[in-house]
Amino acid sequence: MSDEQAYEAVKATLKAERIQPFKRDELEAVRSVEGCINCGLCIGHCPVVRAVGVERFSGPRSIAVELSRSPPEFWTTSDKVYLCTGCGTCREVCPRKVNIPAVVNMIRTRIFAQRPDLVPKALLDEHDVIVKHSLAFEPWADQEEKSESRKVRLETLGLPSVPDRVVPGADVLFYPGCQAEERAQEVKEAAKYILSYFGINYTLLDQMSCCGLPSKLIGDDETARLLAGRLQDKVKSLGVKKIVTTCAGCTSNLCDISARDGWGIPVYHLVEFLAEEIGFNKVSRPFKGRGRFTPAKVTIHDPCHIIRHTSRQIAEHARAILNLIPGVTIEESGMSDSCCGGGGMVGYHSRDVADAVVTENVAAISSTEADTVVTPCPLCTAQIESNLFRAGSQTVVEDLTVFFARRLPQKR
Amino acid sequence: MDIKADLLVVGGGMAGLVAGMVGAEAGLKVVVLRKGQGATAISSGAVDIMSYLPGANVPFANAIEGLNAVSEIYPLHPYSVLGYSDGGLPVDPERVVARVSEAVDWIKGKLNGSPSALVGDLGRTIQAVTLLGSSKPTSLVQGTMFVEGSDDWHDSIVLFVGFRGFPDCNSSITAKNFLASRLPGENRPRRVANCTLDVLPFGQPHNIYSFDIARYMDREEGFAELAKTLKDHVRSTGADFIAFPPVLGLRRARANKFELEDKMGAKVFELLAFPPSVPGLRLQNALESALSTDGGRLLIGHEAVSFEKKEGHIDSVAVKTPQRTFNIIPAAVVLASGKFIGGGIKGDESGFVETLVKLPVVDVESYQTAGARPQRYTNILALSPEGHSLFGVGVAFDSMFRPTGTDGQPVADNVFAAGSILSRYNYSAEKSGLGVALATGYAAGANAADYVKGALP
Ligand SMILES: Cc1cc2nc3c(=O)[nH]c(=O)nc-3n(C[C@H](O)[C@H](O)[C@H](O)COP(=O)(O)OP(=O)(O)OC[C@H]3O[C@@H](n4cnc5c(N)ncnc54)[C@H](O)[C@@H]3O)c2cc1C
Ligand code: SF4
Ligand code: SF4
Repeated sequence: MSDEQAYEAVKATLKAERIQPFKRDELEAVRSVEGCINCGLCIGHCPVVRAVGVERFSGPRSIAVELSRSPPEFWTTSDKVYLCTGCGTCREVCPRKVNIPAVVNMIRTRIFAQRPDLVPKALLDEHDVIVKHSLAFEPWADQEEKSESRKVRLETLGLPSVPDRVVPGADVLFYPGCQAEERAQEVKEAAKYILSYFGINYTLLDQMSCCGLPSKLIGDDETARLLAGRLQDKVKSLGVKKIVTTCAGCTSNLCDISARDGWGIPVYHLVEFLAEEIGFNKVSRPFKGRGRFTPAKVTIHDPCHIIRHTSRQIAEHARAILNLIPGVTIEESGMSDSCCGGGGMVGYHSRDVADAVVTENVAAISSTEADTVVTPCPLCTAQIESNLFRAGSQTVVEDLTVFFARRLPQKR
Repeated sequence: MDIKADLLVVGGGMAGLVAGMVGAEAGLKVVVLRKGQGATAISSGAVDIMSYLPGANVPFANAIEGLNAVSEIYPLHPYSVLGYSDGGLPVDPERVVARVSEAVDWIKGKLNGSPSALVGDLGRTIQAVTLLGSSKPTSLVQGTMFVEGSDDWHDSIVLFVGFRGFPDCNSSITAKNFLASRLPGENRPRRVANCTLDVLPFGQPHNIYSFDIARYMDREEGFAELAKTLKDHVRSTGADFIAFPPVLGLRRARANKFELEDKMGAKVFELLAFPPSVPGLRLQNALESALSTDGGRLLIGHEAVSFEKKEGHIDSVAVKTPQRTFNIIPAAVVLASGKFIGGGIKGDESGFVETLVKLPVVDVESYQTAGARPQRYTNILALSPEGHSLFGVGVAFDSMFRPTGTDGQPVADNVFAAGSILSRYNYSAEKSGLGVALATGYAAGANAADYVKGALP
């Protein structure tokens, strides 16, 4: 038997035993669980454990020491691993940097392949949407209606309309992500306005295509990789040097796949791009010497995909940028870095868990008496908005990109 | 985007946060890096100063006696170094006691009013009761873990509380052991009792975790449920003291204790628990907020990964977050990255390494470990008064707490070290962990501040 044949033979037995070999890029995370010293520090920090208790969600340590250890039996964990929001809090506090969120994705990938019947139904439905449209949401059936909705949003917010542009050879690709493309269109518009305001030579994609994060979180690794590849082709053919996005999830996922697949292109959240690439000097200029700003008392929510999957430095930039705007005062809630429950696709099938997670954020936000919560992510915006509304709060939630664009003095 | 700092502290446990606060108090711009949680957050939350001489079965009468003994017997011990004069040896024991005492008073002031405000002093050993009913000699405990009169249980009735579905604590075992470990007449209570309460943070009476209860106690309805279910047990047992596992709250523990004492007419205290414990995290949280009150900046999830050294001076440290790397340009650095849990020292079959600066690792007697396997530093007995000398390995240091190389010279003029990364003491045999972290963090922070101001001799 040749090596090749032997390999195939072994692979076939693995399949019979329902073992799916690890991909090379999964190995680092899988090996990280070997470092677990069973200290339990992570459990005390996990926001899902905090919200629903270890009875309902056994928590990160159990993922590290039990649930990730038996490849043929991964399916037995299906009542637990779909409740992880992927917030990364456990990995951040873990003395050994065990990569629980990546391990959760690895396990979900195995369940999706071996026992699709155990994947929550809502995730399978979502999978169908993504496969059909290459978008995380059912796109607008009627483009007229989409643009009408956009117009109304811009008018309500007092934002100028900037025409879409696709410019091969531009420096920067602005990638709004599915949420800002299909739902929170004001975020995409605000970012376009900001980029053109500061004279950035940017382009959009000719046709928006999902970055693959939702597929990864569902466990549909195949679609996730397919979408990543498709996006890579688009990025390469546009010939851009940098990518800017306004979505927290897109920021971290694009960073991941750009590094994994060797794109050689840096990815920035707009907040970071303003701070580091455009520079505070330039960003502060429009606000200099202009006296008539309405005061705003804001509090901030820091998205997990920014602070724990990309860098907490971006949260510092967000504050620095808000501080440039005259009239804005920041009231810290003390819970700004706590997961809002919106991640990991948990809300798709276990809304009660997602909403239990955000309860403490809502209480902390309310106690600041801020009039606006700003957050640099349209998905966190939606999750916090619906829960504040349900709690009867008067506090407005605004995506940071929109908040900033609205206060940017319009050029005459 | 690079950051400039007067003082960069690598490590956000007891030693690093203390050094950071001292620097901030001295007016420095301080940045503290914390890549994860370390031993401080996982500890029982009681601050041991110096409870045992390694090898001894009987604890010191108090920490002053312990510090005096250390000064005499181990002149290279981190505590002893505090007693050096400008000329170095000999150690002045009074100076050691005075400097540790100063650090203790200072930290008590810093944590005053926080949920983990500390009680105790060097002159008195507190026999803290554990979840097993045994007692552990220590010097400072959180106010919630302390009751006046607890050194004399004579003639009292002690009620041990457990929770249904909370597996960490079996209150009947705690009560039995507590009684059994005390000789009749000798500080022994008249009677012990135990009860198991139905307090259900998530509605089910099983699989409850200490942090579940603690967080429930931070909410009014949780505390009300506790007070209601406890009342009858207190009445029927006539308890003078009520002992809880340490779950009285992460934030409201102190207020809860006092309110319970009021409602129950008995003294309430928390026991010491296994790691990870609620009081450990309470202590970590309180230290972090004290740093931010002092104007220090804590960067969570930031790991120092490499450094640049020019002319005996570390002038740049590269810091990594999950997707970004940037530099911090410090005037001085305090290395407080801990030992095996914190991650400052690692050991595997190829020997020990200090993870950032790659300093040589020495053993408790200052010999180079030079590639020796960690197993060599373990004892045949898992538990013994000698402990394992493994816990005494770390970096060598001079009288200014500057880490030194194989030649005995400081590896850089602007780098200081503090806490469990230091060698020459065995915290686990001595029971001195958080105490050494506090005292050396205090001293190294002050030395670094002097260095930055050009005032270091
Ligand atoms: C299970 C356990 C229980 C204990 N219980 C007690 C007790 O009850 N009482 C007592 O007095 N002592 C106790 N000790 C000992 C005591 O906790 C430690 O000695 C003390 O906390 C050490 O403090 P430290 O600041 O030096 O280190 P740590 O608290 O370990 O802090 C080290 C810090 O450095 C960070 N770090 C490491 N490398 C880097 C890097 N490259 N970049 C950025 N950050 C980095 C870590 O993330 C961590 O924040 C216990 C120890 C253990 C392990
Ligand atoms: S990633 Fe977040 S939700 Fe998932 S186990 Fe870790 S802390 Fe819990
Ligand atoms: S914090 Fe890390 S090492 Fe500790 S139990 Fe959790 S995963 Fe394991």
